[in-house]
Amino acid sequence: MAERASKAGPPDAAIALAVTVACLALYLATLTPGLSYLEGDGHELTVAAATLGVAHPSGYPLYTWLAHLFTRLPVGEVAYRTNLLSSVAGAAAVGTLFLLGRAAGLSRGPAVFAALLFGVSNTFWSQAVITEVYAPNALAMLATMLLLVRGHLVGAALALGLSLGTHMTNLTYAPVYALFVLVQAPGVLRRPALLAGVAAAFLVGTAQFAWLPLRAHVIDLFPSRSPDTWEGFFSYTMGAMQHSRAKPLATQPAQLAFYGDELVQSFTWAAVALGVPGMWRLAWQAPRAFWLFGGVFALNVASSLQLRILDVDVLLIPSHAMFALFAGFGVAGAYGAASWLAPPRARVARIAATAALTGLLVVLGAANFVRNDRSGDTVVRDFQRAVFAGVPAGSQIVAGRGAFGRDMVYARLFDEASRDFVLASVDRPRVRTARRPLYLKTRLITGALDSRRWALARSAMPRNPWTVARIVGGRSGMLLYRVTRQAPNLLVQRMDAGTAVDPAVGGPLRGHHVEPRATADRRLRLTTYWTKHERQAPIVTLRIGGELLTAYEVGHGNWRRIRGAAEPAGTPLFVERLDVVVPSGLPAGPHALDLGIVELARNGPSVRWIPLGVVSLG
Amino acid sequence: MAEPTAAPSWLRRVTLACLVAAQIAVVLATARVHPSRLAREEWTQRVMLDGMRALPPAGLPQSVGMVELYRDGGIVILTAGGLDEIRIDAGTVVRSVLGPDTMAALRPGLTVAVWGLRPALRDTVTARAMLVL
Repeated sequence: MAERASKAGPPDAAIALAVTVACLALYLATLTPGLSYLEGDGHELTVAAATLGVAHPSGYPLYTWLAHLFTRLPVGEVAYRTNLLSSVAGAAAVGTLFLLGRAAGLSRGPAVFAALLFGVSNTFWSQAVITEVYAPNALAMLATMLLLVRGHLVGAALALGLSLGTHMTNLTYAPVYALFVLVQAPGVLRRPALLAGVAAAFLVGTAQFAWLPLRAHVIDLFPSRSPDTWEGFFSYTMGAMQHSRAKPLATQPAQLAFYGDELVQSFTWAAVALGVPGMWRLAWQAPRAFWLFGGVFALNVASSLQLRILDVDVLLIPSHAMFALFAGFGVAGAYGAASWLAPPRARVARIAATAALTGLLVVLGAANFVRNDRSGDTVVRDFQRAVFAGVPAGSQIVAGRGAFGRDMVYARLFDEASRDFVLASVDRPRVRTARRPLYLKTRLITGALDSRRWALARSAMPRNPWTVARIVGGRSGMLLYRVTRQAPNLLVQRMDAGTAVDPAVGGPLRGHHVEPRATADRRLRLTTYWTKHERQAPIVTLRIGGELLTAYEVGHGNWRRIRGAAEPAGTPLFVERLDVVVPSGLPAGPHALDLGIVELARNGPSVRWIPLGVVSLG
Repeated sequence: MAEPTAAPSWLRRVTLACLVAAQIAVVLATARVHPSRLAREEWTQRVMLDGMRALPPAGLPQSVGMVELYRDGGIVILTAGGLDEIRIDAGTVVRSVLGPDTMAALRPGLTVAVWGLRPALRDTVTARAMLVL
């Protein structure tokens, strides 16, 4: 707790509001307009919010309710509204961090610096512009700490219980909170009524998890077990972190080195250099507050680095908030050191320090604005529009089961165009599908067509099916295959009329044809012919107007398989007919389309570009 | 809760001593971890797989994601945080769990773990070693 009294009066509230609004403006300018290709969980969280369903373990009831309220806002599409929750909550978390710094004894300038440093840091910003739980969770966690530091124990207990609905890891900090209260006000142990109130408030907060068994039936929870039994409930909630393993002590140095890299990535070396002495200052000036902030920092780092997941960086956001506070104390220390100088020099030193700190925030903010600008992320929306326009009406489209296929569930809920199709992940129980053309939506790496991940009964999928890519979108997973029982005709003796012959002698590309005008939904119809001398399929990358579009292997898995099929006589050519989705953000008009053949040489990849012509976008 | 009181001097001293000791311990511990200094022949598949579990000497990779795009001298991978540009040269070691231990293993859509140098404020990693998963 603060070593000197510091209460958040109206001026502090006004500054907190200003900091919040400033960060909100940055987040809104970089906000994703719909579903993001970056984050599959975001698709699932959006659908759970819209249908008041249950998200993946640990269920996130509070998040689901908040996001549902945002889905009611009359602005943008539904996914934009849940993205907006991240921005609003993220900006509010920044304002709350300012208040927490003030409550811990920071003067206004360093507290503003700490808050803005956190607000423009890379990892946090990345989560404030997409649908995810981490920005709302930062708000919940910081609000809990603020209530605690201000001495509102019952409110803090309620906030802690509620915050488990934005992320279960908040429970990790409970021992630190309890220790802080005991050190700060040991007299609470002699107040049973207060302790009972704290316990009751915490239980009220956690009661939100009753939502899980009540709503488990709403959506397919695959691959998780349904939380409508005691065992399933425990597995879904407290067992959500079961992939955590205690790693050997020998791993700690490497993990800490990784965390150091993560800190520098988020804050720059300069800010890290402020944070380390800032810890010293806080430890000396306000040791109780240090044990609170340092305890949360250490527990978050230690517990997150134990998890066997790839996106551990987002779990480290609470520690980043604490480190930003440490940097704020470092700034306070630097200002304090300036007072050792004679008055005129001290004033100059303070002005220089303020300019340098402002410059640091501007540089960090500008760099992370570019890194986190998702305002042009229309990959999922563009792909879905192309699919619903490019596939014959009445076809059946199969996506992943459960959380893996929620982008298609979203389309069914909010895209009128999807009504012309059977979406296996939504309509399976109600619709006869046997005679419908079958399409599969995802990138096939292993060809595991009949796994439980698909939203289609095994009996409904042809045995040993052929999958031929038809529509290629902008990113991984944005692929639509036609599924057939019969082998497709991918080998031809001659190219179609109007095909341009590739002038590069000896290259695998023999000819190409592209429709000069894109379709209204911005698909480019591209046909390419390839010699099939190489065992490995050529790797192709496409660019339009100088912008890279996508990369794929010719044949999308059929290059080697087709070798075993009956081949026509002579030396056939391998033909691939694709619809390539062009981003809707690309301006209308003529654009040069190029195909690059990727050579994976010993000294790294190189791309040989072949102009395919000029295409017109409407 | 009671208003804050001044912390006793012993608490300040103990807190500061614990903090400095912890910081020195972290510096000493991490100073022993130098994945960038591993010789080319030391980047074995086993070392990299151990690194994925945070085990020394490789430690956690700087970037993990799916191969999305290709450029001259590099690839772009899709990570949980966005697109990372990976710079590759003749000195980059490539190992593969299933495919060949050559650059040819870098096929579209496959997941790669990348160890190397990542400068601040940039989504770029100059790859020292890569494991294709």
